[in-house]
Amino acid sequence: MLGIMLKDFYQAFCNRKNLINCFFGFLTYFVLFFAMPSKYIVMLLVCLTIPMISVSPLQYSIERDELSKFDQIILTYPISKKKIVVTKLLETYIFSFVCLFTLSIPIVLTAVYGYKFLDFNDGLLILVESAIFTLIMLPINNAGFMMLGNKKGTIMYVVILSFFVIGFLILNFAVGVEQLLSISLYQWLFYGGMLAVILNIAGYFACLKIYDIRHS
Amino acid sequence: MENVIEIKNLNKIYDDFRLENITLNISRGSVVGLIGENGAGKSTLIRSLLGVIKSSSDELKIFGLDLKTDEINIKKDIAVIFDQTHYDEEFSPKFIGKMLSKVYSNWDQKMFLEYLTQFQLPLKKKIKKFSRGMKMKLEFAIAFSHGAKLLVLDEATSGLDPIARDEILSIIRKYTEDENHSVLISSHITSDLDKISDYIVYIHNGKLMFMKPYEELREDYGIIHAGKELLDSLDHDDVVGIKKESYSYTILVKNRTSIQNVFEDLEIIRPTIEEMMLFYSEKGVELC
Repeated sequence: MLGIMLKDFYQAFCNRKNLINCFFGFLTYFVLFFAMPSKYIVMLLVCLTIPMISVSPLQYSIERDELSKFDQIILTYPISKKKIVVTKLLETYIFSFVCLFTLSIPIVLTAVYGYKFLDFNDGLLILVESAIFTLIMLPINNAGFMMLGNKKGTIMYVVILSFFVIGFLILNFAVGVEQLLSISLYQWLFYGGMLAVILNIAGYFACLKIYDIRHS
Repeated sequence: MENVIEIKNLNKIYDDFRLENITLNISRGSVVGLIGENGAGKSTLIRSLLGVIKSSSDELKIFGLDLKTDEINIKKDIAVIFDQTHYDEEFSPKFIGKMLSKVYSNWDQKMFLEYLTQFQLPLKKKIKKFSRGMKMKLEFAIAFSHGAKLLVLDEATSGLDPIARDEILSIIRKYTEDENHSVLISSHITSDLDKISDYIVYIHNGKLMFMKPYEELREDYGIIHAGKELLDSLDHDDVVGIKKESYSYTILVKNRTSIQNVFEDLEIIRPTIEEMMLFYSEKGVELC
């Protein structure tokens, strides 16, 4: 498991092209925040961007593995298909966790204690919403990339992102994004958490089945 | 002698191809050459054997362990080398060693570095800058660094120049000096198999045609070019196949020595693996 994880993270973040992408992605993230500091930007960055970029380690490794046909050799290693799938999914959760601490929390803390346009409770709510959205989007994106591969998976990803963006815009102009903050923390945790758990369990079994079918 | 691989009635069905009822045993310490034309089923057999693709079988054991229940334990002691490297070309041997040390519990990093030195492979250079021969040697360095008892080569020497192929064959010969090491090598370059094989397995259209000791093929079999009169005088049990030419017959016979004793002046040519393979796969050959 550790060997595969080391390979995938190396491919995702030590490959020059991917490293440059990551750097500029993170740069854009902070530039947007500091250029337009507002509640809406914080919600856009934390609740939309983080859930969607969390699938990056899986997408990068699938891209590189397809180029080198690494799948042909990984199945000759003393690792079960189940462990391979668990490793790849775990990488996305680890990356999400890292993004939470390096991107989301600093942005929210700056908004709460720096710019002060957000109070602590709203900041915490935004972080919870981000975590829930991440846990909802991850299994969908993971299963999508596992099933479709890199090219078609990227198309699927762009389509899902578009729906997310359109939804965010409709929410913003029709109802107001602040409505998300009017839902209580406990409601987010209960309903959102329940949906996230169901999707993650279903997503895990779906990924396992997809991997088994693709490599049989 | 203990068998390293035991296969009984292995089947793999695709829409347009079937690997059918493959049954064979490979004894420990032997080098088995797997031959067959393109699309015969050699790679399908190898992948089924390794559990890379699903197949059905009555029995599939490696090192005496059932592949269905002991796959992980079996794969610790198997090394597989394909016709090209499947590692990301941005990797260096150093990174690959680091990665595989976490994959194989029996990985020997010191041995890996020694093999890299022996094969003159730079440690930190990305493999995209390696020649084809260097990439194959890297694969061998990897294969030998986790104490693999079974080496499986799927067209590993194809595309190599004769010097590189000779080096690879020397490496394989040295590997098999240890009686606990076995090799299954699939190759179109039958001259390579002539040099190192103990057994030859011939797959044709998804079926196992034969598995015979190499020496038996060389000593017992022969090719005769003769007319109908001689063909009729041969014992039918000795005739393996007949190919009608324009004015004569090309006959593949067994019991070459006995036939030579009877027909002292008859020229009976020892067939190479390639000639036998061509004989079996050519149209117009009547196999007896």
